[in-house]
Amino acid sequence: MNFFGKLSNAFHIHLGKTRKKSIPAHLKGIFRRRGTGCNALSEDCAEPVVVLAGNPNVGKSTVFNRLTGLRQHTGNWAGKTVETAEGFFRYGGRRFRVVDIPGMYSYTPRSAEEDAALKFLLSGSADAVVVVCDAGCLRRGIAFALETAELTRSIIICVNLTDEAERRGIHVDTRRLSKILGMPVIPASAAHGKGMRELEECIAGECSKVKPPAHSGISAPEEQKPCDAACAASRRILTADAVCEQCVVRDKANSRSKLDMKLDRIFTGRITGRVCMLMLLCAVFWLTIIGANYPSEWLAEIFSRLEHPLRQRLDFFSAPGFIKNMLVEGVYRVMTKIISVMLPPMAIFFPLFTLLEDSGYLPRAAFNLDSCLHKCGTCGKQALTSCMGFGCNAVGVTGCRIIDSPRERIIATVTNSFIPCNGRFPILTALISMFFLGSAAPPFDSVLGAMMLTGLICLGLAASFGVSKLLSVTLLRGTPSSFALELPPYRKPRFLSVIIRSALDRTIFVLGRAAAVAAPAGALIWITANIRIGGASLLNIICQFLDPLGSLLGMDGVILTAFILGFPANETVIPLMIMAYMAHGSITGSNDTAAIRSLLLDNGWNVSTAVCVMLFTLMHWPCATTCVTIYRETKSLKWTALSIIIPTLTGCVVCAFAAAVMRALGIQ
Amino acid sequence: MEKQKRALCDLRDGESGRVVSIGECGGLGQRLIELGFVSGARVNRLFSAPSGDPAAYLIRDAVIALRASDAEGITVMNYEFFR
Repeated sequence: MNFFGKLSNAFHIHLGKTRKKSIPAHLKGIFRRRGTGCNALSEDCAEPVVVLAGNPNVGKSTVFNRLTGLRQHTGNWAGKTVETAEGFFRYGGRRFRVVDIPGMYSYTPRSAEEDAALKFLLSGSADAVVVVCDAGCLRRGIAFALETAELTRSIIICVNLTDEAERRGIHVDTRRLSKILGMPVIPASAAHGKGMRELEECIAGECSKVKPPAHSGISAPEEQKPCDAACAASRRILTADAVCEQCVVRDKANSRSKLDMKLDRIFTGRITGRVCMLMLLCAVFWLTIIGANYPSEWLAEIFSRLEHPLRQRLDFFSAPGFIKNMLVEGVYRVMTKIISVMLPPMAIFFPLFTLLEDSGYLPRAAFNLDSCLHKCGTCGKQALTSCMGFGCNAVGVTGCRIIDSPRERIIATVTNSFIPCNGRFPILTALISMFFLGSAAPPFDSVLGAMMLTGLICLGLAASFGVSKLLSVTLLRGTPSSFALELPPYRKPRFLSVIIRSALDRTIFVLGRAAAVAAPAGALIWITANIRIGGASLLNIICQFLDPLGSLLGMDGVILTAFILGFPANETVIPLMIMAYMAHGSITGSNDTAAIRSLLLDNGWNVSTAVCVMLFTLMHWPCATTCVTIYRETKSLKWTALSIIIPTLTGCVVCAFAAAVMRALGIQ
Repeated sequence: MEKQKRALCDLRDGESGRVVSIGECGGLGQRLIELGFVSGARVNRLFSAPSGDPAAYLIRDAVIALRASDAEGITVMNYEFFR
C-alpha cells in the first residue's frame, strides 16, 4: 500500500471508523468464502452474518455499537453512516458477524451503495436481517420491514428509541405487532442499552433455525417499471398504516413535543434562525479559543523542558551529531509544536461540534441554508457535507454520498475544501490572536477573536457557495434536483460521554498524524535547511525561488514553501514555517505565542501578511488525505485535479487582490 | 369542490390537508411515497426556512423539508373538508 493509502487508513481508524469497508469489497469477501467452500478456519465459516438495515436515523449505528462494542460515529441526522461497517459479537459461545449498512427508505436503489446493499440481501448471504425501526415513526419502519420480507426471510424487527417515543406519548404494543407480522419484534432503546440482550438472544435463535435454500427466483425490484414500484410502495405504506393502527397507542393527536416546536421556531425563525446560526458558530469558536490557550502554553513548556533530557539521552547512545540534530531540531520540535499548537483547539472544537451533531441542529442549519444553495443550483444537503468539512474535509467528501444527484455531488466534493477543517483553523486562531487582538482587554479579546474567526469561516462558506454557483453555470450545468431532508426530533446529547470520547478520538488522531506526517516533514525540512549548495542552504534556495510568487500573493517564499510541504497535513504549516525561519538562524528556545510573534515580525511579517496567510489557508489545495478521498469517491482524475486547481486558483487571485488593495491603502 | 384542492406548497404555516394525488415531482415521486405521501395521508405544514423556501411538513410523525418546486406536484385537499 502506498503512503497516501496508509495515511487515509490511519485516518479512518482514528475517527473511530474501524473495520470499515465499502460494500462491494465486503461482498467479494463473502462470496469468495461462501462460493469456494470453507478455506478459512472452520469456526469462521460457521459464523452467521447479521445485517442491520432500516430507514436513516433510526439508530442503526447505535445498535451496532452496542452489539459489537465498536465505536462507529453516530449523529442525529439522516445519512450519517455512508459506509458499511462490520463487527462481531458473541452470544452463547458463538461468534456473530454484524454488518451495519447505510440507512435507506426503500430497496429501490438510488446510489451504488444502496444497490450493493440490495444485492447483498438478495444474495442470501445474510443469516438474519435486523430491521431497526424508530418507535416514534413506526409506520415507515414497518413499510420498510414489509419490503425486506419480500426479499429475504429471517427478519427480526427491532423497535428502537422506545423511551423517546414514550416521552412523546407513543406506545407500541410489540407483542401484538409480532403476532400480526409473524416476525419477532424486540423493543429497545439502544442508547441506554435496553433490549440489547433480548436482541442478541433473538438473533442467535433466528440464526440457528434451519434455513430454506437461498431464494433464487426473486428478482430485484429495479427491474420493475417505475409505476409498479410506486404502486407497490404505496400499497406497503397503506398496509403498514393498517398494522400500526392496531399496535400503536397515542396519548395525544400531535406527536411533536412542545419543546421541539419552540426550538424549531427559534432555530428556523426568519431573524432568529440566522442569528442563532452565527451565534452558535461564534460560541463554538469562542470556547475553542479561550479553552485552548492555557493547555497550549503548558504543553509547549513541558516539551521545551523535555528537549534537554532528550539530547542527553541521545548523547548517551553516542548518536552522530548529524542524526542527533536532525532528531531534536527537526523531528522533535516540529512534532511537539504540532501537538502544542494544534491539539488543544482540536480537542475542544471537535467535541463541541459533535454535541451540535448529536442534538439534531445540523439538519436545521441545512434547512436554513437551502434557499441559498438552491440559488447556487445545488442541493441543500451540501450544507451538511460542508459542516462535516469543519471536522475534516476528507470526511466531508465521503459524506457527499448522501447527495443523490451526481452533478450536485461533484459540486459539493470540489467545493468542500473551502471549508477550513480542524487542521486549518488552529492556523487561523493562532494568527488572529497574534496579530489582531494585541490591544483588546482580556475579556473582549477572545470574543473579538471568535467573531473574526466566524467572519473568516463565513468568507470560506461564501467562497464555497460562489464556486458552486460558478460550476453549476459552467462545467456542471443543470437544474437543481429535488430535495427531501428529514428534520429529526431534537435529542439531548449525552454530554459527558460525547465530550470525553470525541476529545480522546481527536487526541489520538492528532498524535497519530504528528507521528506519521509531521515527523518526516520535520526531518525533511531540517535536511533541506542543512544541506548547503554554494554557501546557501537548500531551503534558502527553494524559499528564494518561491519568493517572487509569494510576495505577489502578499506572503513570502518561506510561507509558500511551508504550505507546499504541508500538503500531507495542513497542521504542519505553522510549525514548518517556524522551523524554516529558525533555520535561518534568528532565535531558538522559547515556544510561547509572544516568541513566535516576534519571530514572525523579525522575518518581515505585518498585518497584511497575516491577512494573506489566513486567506490562503482558507483557499488552497486540499490536503493529501482529502485528495485521495476525492479520487476514491469520484473515480476521476479530472475532478481530482480540478478540486486541487480551483481552490488554489481562487486563493491566488483573492490573495493577490487583497495584497494589492492593502498595499494601496498602506496597511502594514 | 375544486376550490378545496391546491398544491402542497400553497398551504400556509400551521395549515394541514390531506394528500389527493402526487404528480411527477421531478425524480422525487417514489421517494415521496416512501416518506408517506400517499393519497389520504394527513400532512401539516409546520414552518418555513428564514427565506421562506424549503418548508417543513409533518407527515406520519416525521418532519420532512421540501422545496416549493418539489411540493408543487403534490395536490392536497383542505383537511376540514374531509371532516
